[in-house]
Amino acid sequence: MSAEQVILLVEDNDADAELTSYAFTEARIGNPIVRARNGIEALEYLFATGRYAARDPMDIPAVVLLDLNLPKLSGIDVLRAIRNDARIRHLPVIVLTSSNDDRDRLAAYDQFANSYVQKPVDYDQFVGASHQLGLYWLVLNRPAPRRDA
Amino acid sequence: MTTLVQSNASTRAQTQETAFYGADGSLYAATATWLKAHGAREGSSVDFAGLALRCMALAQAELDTLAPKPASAPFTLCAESIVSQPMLDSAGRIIGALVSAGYHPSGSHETEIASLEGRIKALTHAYDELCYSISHDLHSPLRAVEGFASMLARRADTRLDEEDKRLLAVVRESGLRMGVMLEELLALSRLNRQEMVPNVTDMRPLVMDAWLDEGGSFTGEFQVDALPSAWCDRTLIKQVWRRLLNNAVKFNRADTPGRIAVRGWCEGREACFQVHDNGVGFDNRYAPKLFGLFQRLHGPDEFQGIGAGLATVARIVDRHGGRVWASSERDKGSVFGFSLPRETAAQTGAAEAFPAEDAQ
Repeated sequence: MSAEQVILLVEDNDADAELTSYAFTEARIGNPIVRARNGIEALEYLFATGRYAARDPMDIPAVVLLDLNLPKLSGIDVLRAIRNDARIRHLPVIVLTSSNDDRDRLAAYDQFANSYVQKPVDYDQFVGASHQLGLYWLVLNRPAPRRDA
Repeated sequence: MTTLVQSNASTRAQTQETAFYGADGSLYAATATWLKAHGAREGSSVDFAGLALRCMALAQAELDTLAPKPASAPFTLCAESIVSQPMLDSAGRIIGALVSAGYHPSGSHETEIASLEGRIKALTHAYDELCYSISHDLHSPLRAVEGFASMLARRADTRLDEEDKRLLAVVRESGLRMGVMLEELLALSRLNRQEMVPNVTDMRPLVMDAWLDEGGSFTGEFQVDALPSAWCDRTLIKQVWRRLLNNAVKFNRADTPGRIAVRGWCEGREACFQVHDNGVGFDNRYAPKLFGLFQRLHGPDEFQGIGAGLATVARIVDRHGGRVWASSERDKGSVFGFSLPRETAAQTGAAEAFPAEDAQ
């Protein structure tokens, strides 16, 4: 996996987003993080529309880190939109949320989330989890090839 | 749901002397002056439930002079529905009471039960939603407190003196502790939602199973007597055993060889169980507090934990229609017990053919 491929972080909370960036840096994950503040912004990035109209839509992120409780479009809605689009439906989506609620977990897997991770309160654990996530999804995991390849 | 009607039949120009009623005759709130005018005495030990009952009777008379009147008469006071809560000012003086009580039409208990059940269901649902929202929404700022304190500790490490570091560590530890509390709160709310699948359950294997999870660090004597079976959800009651055995192990005394015993017997239609230990014990005066959420009788430095174990036990046992109890003598040990139904209502008739002792 190329180091240039971005990680799309969909997170409305500024402090949470900063914490995730820090944790990923500490976990020595070098991929640039693009942050979307809500579901609409995330889809604009993925489909290269709106404020991201100039972006190359073929340049897809390595992985999406998706919060569930988002303003406007919820995380589950974003996930559904990703899985309903042939161009990006294989995109690895990791739900990264505070919630460990059964309903949220079920809803995420019902929409084919690749993984569900509860953000730990303990920062050290969060750095550890970020390291493992990076190692698995950015190094070990082989993504689906592009359809046109 | 209910239109509030302000009673001024007894106010006589004293603005504080006020009570609020629902249009169905329920009394919702009363000020201290109003309560005093109806027999309450000053002091913090006001029996608000009893007081509310007396107020109800007086209110009934007042209500007759008010419009709108209850939709259908006659109404009887539903004593079980009274919930009261004193309102205190910043100095702790009682300045009033929030009282909620309902009247139900006489002779229609089924309707009343159905309506109360509906209310309980709605309240439980609202409570669950609140717990979910509290534990979920508070996680995020809490993680920020813990995370940013942690990042600061790392970045400023060499610039901080020992006291600075200690202060930061307190911030972090408190944050982590609150995180555990939120998790327990969420787990408790999940308990309410979790579907119960009760069966006749042989209790001994369940205790042994729970002991495998909790007894690892215990070097003393562990004994399980013959136990009656009970009608319960295996998974939930295993949690009860785990919490009780965990406590028995945790509150062990360092200076004495530990002894934990599990006993059981039948009492009427109940199967009763007790966990005995010879640990540090507690002051019996505080026994009722023990089953409250986040209630602890020992400091976190003495024993780990946040005080959610027994609250969980109480919730699970309550869902089964059972009781919990605890008693102790300081430095001699404690007894924690609970009861469960022995059989379903449908089986009750058949079970009565066997004396209670047979089940042991």
